[in-house]
Amino acid sequence: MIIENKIINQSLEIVRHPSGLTIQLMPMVGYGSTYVIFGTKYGSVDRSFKLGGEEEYLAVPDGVAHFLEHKLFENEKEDAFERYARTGASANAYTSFEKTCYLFSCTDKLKESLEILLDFVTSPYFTEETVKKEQGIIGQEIKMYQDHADWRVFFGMLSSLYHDHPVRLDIAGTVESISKIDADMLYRCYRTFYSLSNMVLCIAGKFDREEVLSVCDRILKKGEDKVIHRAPEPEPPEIVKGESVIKLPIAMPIFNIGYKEKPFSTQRMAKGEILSEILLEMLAGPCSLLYKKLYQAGLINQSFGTEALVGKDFRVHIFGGESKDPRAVLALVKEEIALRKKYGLDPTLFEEIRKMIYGKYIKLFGSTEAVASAMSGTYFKGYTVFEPINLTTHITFDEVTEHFLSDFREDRVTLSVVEPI
Amino acid sequence: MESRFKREKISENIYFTGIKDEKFKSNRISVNLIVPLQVDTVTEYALLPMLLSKGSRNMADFTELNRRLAGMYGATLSTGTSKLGPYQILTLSISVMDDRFTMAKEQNTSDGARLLCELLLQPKIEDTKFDGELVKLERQALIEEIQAQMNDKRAYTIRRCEELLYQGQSRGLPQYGYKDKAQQITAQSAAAAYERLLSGCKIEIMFLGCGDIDEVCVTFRNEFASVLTSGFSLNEFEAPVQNREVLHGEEKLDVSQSKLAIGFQTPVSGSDKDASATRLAVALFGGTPFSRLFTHVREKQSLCYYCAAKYDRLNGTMMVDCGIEAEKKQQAYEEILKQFEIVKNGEFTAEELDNTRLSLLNSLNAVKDSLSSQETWYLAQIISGTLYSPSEEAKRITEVAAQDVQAAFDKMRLTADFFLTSKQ
Repeated sequence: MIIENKIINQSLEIVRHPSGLTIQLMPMVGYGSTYVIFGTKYGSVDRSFKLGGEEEYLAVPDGVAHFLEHKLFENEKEDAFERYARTGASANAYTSFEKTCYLFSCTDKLKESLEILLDFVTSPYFTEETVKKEQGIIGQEIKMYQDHADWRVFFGMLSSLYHDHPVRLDIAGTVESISKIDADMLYRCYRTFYSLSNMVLCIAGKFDREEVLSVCDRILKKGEDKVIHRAPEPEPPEIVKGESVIKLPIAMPIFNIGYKEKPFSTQRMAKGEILSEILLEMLAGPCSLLYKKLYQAGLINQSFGTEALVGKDFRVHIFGGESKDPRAVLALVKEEIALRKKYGLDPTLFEEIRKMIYGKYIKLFGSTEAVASAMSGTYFKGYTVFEPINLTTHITFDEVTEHFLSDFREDRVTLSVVEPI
Repeated sequence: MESRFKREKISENIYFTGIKDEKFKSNRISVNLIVPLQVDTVTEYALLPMLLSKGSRNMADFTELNRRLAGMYGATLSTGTSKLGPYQILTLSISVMDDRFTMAKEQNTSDGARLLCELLLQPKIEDTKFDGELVKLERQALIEEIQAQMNDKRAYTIRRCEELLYQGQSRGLPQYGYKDKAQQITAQSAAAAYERLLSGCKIEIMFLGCGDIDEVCVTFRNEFASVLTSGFSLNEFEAPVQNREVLHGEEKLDVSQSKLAIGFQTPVSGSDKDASATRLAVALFGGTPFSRLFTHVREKQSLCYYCAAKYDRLNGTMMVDCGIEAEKKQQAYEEILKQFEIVKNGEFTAEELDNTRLSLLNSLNAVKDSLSSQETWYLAQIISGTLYSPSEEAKRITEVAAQDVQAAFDKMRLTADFFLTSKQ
């Protein structure tokens, strides 16, 4: 299936491979590089699951998805980085809340690098010895992130909003939780989530269509169809607590204000994300009155920003940055939201922000990395990479207002702070 | 697709460099003001981009500026202060969506170029003073930025090591300057600094993207017609002083993971061939996931979580840095030096060299697919007094032999190290 976007003159081809894998291809004329992402819909929140036909859900320790990401690079004979060394590709991987992605970029030997990627991700090899060694390495990674104030303030906010949903947990787990991981568990998780029907391959930039598809034909084998049941994570709408504070050796306080929101349905996901993005810019972006008030009071600096964190069954509006007085920032944010709910949003500002968001999504298509990342991200959320551009041109002020009025409840907000020691 | 390179002198000490490439969807324009790093000016100059980015004298406030940027399809304005070699670079840049995607045939690109000129050349200065309230806010923001340098522990450790490497030299100055000097800046002294900067710097204007390169060049030629700057010679920068003994530093903070940075000095002068050999040598030593440091210090001996090496040609340094457990410091240090000797003695395989070369070529060949990478590349080239394209550098990399790599490491000297560790 080919989807064309006439605005940016790009086409997206979606191929349903016989193996069950979905392949998304976006040729970018004139580019000399290729960016490839092979992703699975499996992340840190998937801590309890079963396959169709099984009776009981299996609960696994925190951090398994991330652990698996590390381990897949290893093989009995040669690890993936040693193989990539012979092609010159620049490779990496990451695990987030709902997905794990293996990627590389290259300007030459695409066929060889693609073979390596598809092969090592579909060829797991775990032993108790290699698992033990990785526990040491990941243990150090966890310690490294313990020193990152941005990371700590973010999870401080999430754990103050969510009672039990696993989004509150560090993606890598803890030193204690990963000590419980063994090879059998890794194989079980792998066989559940790394079935090709649960995955996507995204290629953006310079490539030969027939060549990449023939590599897929050669390496990818059709497995049994699997139906994955992820255990529901019931979560009350109320938050846990209104404030959390920890101390680290930093120069000035860092904060995250988080509003806990009702999750979007799958059908509403694409539009909902754009509505949130526009709304946050209108409320607290650099064009807003709130931003001006906070900046001129010396309460924020250039580190201030907003984000809409959106998952299948969690959603948070976030305001964050450095501040000498985070509680004062929270008070002003609450005050502004109350005022806007009473007197309404600014329709002129809406048009400016809409143009801004439209421009942002057009510019995205100038980078192979941005395109491939957007392709995989939107696929797992159930829409295509062109949706944001299409939606932005049609979204209305009334839709943004309606979205605003149903969100940002004052009893659903928390403040997370990391203070200097 | 059409691709075009243009470099033109706008006037004395002011140059325009443009790269047009039709494949992109946006355009990136920057004005870079280059001055020698000096202790007396580094702080006050660091404040200037922050002041200029809040609006011109024609704008009520920064909200008006930001709404104008939003209306230009989300044009992104960025300003900053950086160091390259012995120079401080003050930058204002704008990234704009290309005209061909606008909904009403707006001239987004030339609007962006003109806006940049307005912000730089029509600042909020009246009666020889910047707006007082603006200076007060941005001065505080600069102080916060200076203080925040210690937040990223990895970067902080490297900077502390650099202070030892460049002891007493301007290269070792912090890029945002000093808190006490920032506190002394007034609305008047800031305006005086602005005039001094504009009349004594070199200006490099860069345009990269798919837009009309000639039109943008004409815009800058017209707008900068009355700018007179005396500049200085870019090619005669001071060579770093070679230290004679190894300097050690340590600091204790409440951290979970310790950091170690080890600095080496290498000659700055020397041919481009030498520089390419050093670049390849450093990558083989610690610049890839299959380098000596990654394979031996991290993977085989599990001495650290990360361990990498980076080369800075303009400063003549190689910096090794790693994240480690405190009790493994000595072991990691010894292993790093052992691997250094291995490269210096040529005890690496042809396969290692070839694979490293492939990796570097991949990076170099990818530069032309990114506007920001190209800008970074060419600005560094201009500062060095050269104008090589990434593909010309790639050609030199293909010609580097094993003995060149050995020779590059033979010229390096261990000069300083810094250890950041836990109080407990």
